[in-house]
Amino acid sequence: MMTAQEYIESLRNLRPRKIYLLGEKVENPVDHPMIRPSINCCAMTYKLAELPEYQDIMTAKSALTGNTINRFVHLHQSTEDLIKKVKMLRLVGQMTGACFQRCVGMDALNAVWSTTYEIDQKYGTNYHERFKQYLIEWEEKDWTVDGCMTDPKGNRSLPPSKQADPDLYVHIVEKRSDGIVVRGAKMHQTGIINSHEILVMPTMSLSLEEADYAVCFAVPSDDPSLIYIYGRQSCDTRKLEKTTVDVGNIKYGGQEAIVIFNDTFVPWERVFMCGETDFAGMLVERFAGYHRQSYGGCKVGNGDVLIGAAAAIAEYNGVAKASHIKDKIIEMVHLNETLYSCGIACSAEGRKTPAGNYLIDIMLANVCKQNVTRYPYEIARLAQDIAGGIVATMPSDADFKSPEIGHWCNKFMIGDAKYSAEERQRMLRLIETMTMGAIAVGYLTESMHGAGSPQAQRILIQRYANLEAKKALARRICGIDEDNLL
Amino acid sequence: MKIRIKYCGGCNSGYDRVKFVKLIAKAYKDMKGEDLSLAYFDAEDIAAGLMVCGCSVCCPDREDIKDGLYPWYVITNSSFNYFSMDEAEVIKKVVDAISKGERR
Ligand SMILES: Cc1cc2nc3c(=O)[nH]c(=O)nc-3n(C[C@H](O)[C@H](O)[C@H](O)COP(=O)(O)OP(=O)(O)OC[C@H]3O[C@@H](n4cnc5c(N)ncnc54)[C@H](O)[C@@H]3O)c2cc1C
Repeated sequence: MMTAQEYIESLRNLRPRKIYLLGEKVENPVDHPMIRPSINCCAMTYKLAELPEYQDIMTAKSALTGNTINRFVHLHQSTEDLIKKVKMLRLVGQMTGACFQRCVGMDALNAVWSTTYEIDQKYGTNYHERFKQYLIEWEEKDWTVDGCMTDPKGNRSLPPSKQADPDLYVHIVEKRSDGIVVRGAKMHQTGIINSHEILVMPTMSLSLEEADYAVCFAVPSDDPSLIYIYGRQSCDTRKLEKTTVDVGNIKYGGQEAIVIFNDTFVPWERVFMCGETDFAGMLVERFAGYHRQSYGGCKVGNGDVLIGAAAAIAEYNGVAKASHIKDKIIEMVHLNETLYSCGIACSAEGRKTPAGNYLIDIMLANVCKQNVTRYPYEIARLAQDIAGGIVATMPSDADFKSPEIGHWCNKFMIGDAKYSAEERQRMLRLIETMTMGAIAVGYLTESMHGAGSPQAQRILIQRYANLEAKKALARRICGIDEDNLL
Repeated sequence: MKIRIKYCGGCNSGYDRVKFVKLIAKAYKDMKGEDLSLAYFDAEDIAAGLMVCGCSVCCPDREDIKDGLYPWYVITNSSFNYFSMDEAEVIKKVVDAISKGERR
């Protein structure tokens, strides 16, 4: 396993990449002040695995080699593994208060593992063996891998092959004896600049005419054909200022970027699906299922931080004993623990796949994510309620530090005199970033759209609802059908 | 041919498991011209075991139960050994598999 420090160094060792941020090419992403917090955040997945007090959750025994590995590169071998995954994500979410990015790769690896097995069973291909060799390397090198699914999608009402521009979905443009060439882009890629590898999957179920879009493959993140455009986050340039106080979460953060596959060559040994349109839906459903489970862990860990911030600011404001404040905090906890319950439930109800790894219960994972599209917003609303308007109107830290006006800021920013103005200032900035600043990208918008927008879950909930069975229950109870039990 | 039937607990079954087993027995008779005898406990001369599960979780699929002298197959009305398929295909797969019924 890599240590956190080795992980950070390993990113320095990648070949130069074409990364653009605020209109400029970034030569050294590792030390860029707007990028570094997201690297620290991902590094936490390595750091905690180093520490004996977290190893029971953070590490696992490899199903492929028997070696001890980071759980983020693990094939789930049981429902216990699935449960430990959720607990691990909650833990890392608590330790960073932000999106630590590494779960997308873990979710992709488990989905690709079982799907390639089933493609091979049907078509006699050898994708699964290829993927196994890839995974052995992945485990051994302890990579962070970007789970790369979402295409630009153009006109959402049209399938890939009917788009005005064929590149709006990643597709194969050439098949050669040694591999394939792909073109297109993927949007919103969490942690991609912090990844060693990129594992690309189709974004939706596909019909037969869409064979060129049914492609799953891996490429190194420093492949020279790739172009990255870094996504802006609300308040992101605060990270360029002299003080960290106004950033709120001073060390950790999330990251999303667009990646462009500008005629990228992929050797056959890194191709894991090539034209099998009938398996695109299975891969998407399984990846999305795992990822919807993930949010029952990571967003809960982030929620713990926000609830802590709300409880602390209530004390700093001198209202902690007010009954409605206590009740609001209880409500926040209740909502947060409901999300956790869903994450644990879909894991406990997981099942084995024909390939041997474990898959979450799809219905419960979708229920989990559907709740995640709502509850963090309500938790954020309550946090802002408790914080007071100052969460959005506070002067900058430069004003607090100003020799001219700093004393005014400090004088009027005091709440309960037991606490310093700076404590209040920092806690409010944390609530601000989590509910409307850079961290809200991960805590709120990612909760809404990451792993699929709310409607995507409702479609699956409907598909798995089995209303016929429920109707039969009702018919028996009201006497339309015979009750032959008693 | 005698097979062992192990039902899951049926907490949230999406279909009628008992009816489904009857369909399997009928299909066996139609295809093999022989009655399928169903045992609900371990017994002599069992050729195969069927874990009949109400949903995809397949709770009874545990090593302590599988530890018999005969092969076990895990089914729902839409899966055979965790591969998804439609009901007719599951029935066909089961009949084929239990016909082979090799005792270990
Ligand atoms: C912070 C963040 C991180 C992310 N990280 C990753 C990542 O690491 N990897 C990855 O692959 N993806 C990632 N995603 C992408 C995420 O999966 C998508 O945002 C999500 O699938 C929704 O797609 P979209 O953003 O294109 O929205 P759209 O598809 O444009 O959806 C917008 C609205 O339109 C509706 N809609 C869309 N299509 C149709 C249609 N055909 N008919 C009717 N209604 C429709 C939707 O239901 C929704 O209400 C991330 C997203 C965010 C916000």
